[in-house]
Amino acid sequence: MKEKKILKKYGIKTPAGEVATTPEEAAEIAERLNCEVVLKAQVLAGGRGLAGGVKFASNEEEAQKEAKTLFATEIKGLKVDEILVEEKLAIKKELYVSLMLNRAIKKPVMIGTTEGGMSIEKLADEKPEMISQIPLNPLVGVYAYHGMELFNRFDLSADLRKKLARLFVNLYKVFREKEAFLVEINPLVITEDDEVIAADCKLITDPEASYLKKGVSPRYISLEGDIGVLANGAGLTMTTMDVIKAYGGKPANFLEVGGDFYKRADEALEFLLTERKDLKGLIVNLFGAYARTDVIIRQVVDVLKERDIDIPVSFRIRGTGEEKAREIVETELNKKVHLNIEEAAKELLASV
Amino acid sequence: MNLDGKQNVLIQGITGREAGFWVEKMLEYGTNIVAGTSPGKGGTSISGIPVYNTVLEAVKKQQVDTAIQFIPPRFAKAAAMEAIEAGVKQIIILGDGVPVHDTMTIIAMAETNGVTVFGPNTPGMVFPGVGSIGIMPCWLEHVFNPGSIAILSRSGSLGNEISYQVSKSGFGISKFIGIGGDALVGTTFADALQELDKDDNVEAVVIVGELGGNMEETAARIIPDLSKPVFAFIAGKAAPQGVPMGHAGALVEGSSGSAFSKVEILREHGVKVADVPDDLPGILKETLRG
Repeated sequence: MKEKKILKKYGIKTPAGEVATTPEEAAEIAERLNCEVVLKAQVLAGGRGLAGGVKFASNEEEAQKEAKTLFATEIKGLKVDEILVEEKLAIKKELYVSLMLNRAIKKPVMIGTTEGGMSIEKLADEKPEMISQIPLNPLVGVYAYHGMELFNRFDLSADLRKKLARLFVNLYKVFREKEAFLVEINPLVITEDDEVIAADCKLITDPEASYLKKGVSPRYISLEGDIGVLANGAGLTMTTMDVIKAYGGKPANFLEVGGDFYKRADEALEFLLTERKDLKGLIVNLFGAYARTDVIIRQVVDVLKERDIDIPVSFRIRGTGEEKAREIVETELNKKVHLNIEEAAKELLASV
Repeated sequence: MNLDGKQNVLIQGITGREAGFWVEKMLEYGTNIVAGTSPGKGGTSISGIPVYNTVLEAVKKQQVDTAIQFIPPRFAKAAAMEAIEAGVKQIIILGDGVPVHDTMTIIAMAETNGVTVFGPNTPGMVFPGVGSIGIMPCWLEHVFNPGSIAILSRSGSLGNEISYQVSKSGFGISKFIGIGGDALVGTTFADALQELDKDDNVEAVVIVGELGGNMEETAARIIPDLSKPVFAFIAGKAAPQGVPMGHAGALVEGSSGSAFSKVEILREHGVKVADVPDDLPGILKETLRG
């Protein structure tokens, strides 16, 4: 629904409709719409049509009855919280259109097919020849000719193709301004009177999009194991997890303090130790460049001392500030600092 | 693509605090930093490097091969446009958190103007014993020993780790090139591999990859046509699927792009892949001197 509101703002037609949270509300909306309606159960998971979350009603009484049924059902284990009550479209044809960022060619691609309704992945498997694609130059953008070209090969009237071309110009604005990885309309309905209406829409945007306020991303992920991991940089943190696993241990988490987070290693470690009281050991693996290991270790050692941690902790330190960092661990914790991850991991796993 | 350690470098955002630290380190290492920019600070100098208001002002006075950005990620696009319009032919974007649509625009602009882009979210390059352009601890002994192996890495921290292993092997490093950890980057493994295959100072290449995306898979397909041996380490074998792991590029989509599938595809194309970093020196010795 949120996505369809965005499309509407950008001049793309969507079905008239509203969200109901009770069967009574569903009836009221159906009355206002004053036509045959579709009731769509709103759950976070995809594929709701297939899961039986869609019902039809020709008047308000039926709408209320069907809404009651839908609210009582579960879809893929999820409770139905809301029902979208929309005008039932007089469908002549269902199309698919999308714009996505293709990482392989580093460009946006516009995609269209007259075989709408099913997922594009499924169509790509079954009838790849029915999918039309045009790679775009982001310095040029989308003009009407792109859309005309895209639907050239399909049996559609010139008038309809012009409407689709206009739609793509607007859809590209959504793609760029919302900084999307994907904006997809499926199905894009052609009605009996040749109106083009976006019946459903998927929008995946960049978590780093420039219009978003920059928050602090935690860079923490909890895992099933019991060996705590603290490292700098995503690549080294993943590698530390890999090495723990390779030597028979199970990592409890992903937690990285690289980049500007190196000045906040204390918060990160406090968070880990509070979150995971079940740790059997902790490996601290640093190979600093921009992230200074002496700055990280100062904070780590302070937290460990303050909390009086009694699980085994194993250190591996290399990189910027390593002499000072090593000295802090050796003098204040009386612990050996390893030069290899493998040695640090083996020592830790032998002692837990 | 300019992979010469003695090329002329311009620092965009030279008056920033972090830039100050790294400019000193790069200069000490012998890097040819010829200019810096900082709007409003033109005419001053930092560590003996002349500061200009704009890149265009700088290139009128100095010959510049590469512009490297010490610029917050939100301004990476503006800085890239400025360098490209001023005629600089190679740009390095260090920023972590550059919006993907900005990167897409930068890459398109660079392609149009024949410009090579490294990054975003790259730690830059090290040419051991010659120069360094970026934020790698080039001065560390036993990590960046001069030698004959080129390293291509999506990660800085893991790049250090693998550099240390390559130095330990005795072969040493000819050049370390940061490819970048973002979902979308300019120069890919495949692009750099083709360039390094023609480089007389490079005996073999080590790819430092990780789960997510398809850059390793694309590279694997061209590797059988290269004349030099390629080695790899791929991080993320213990990572769960479908969860972004710090790097924006490290998100596994379905079963493709997992660390295991990358290792498998690389091995199918003749790449020797180390299971843990410590295995790498042995594999290098066995293959190159065996």
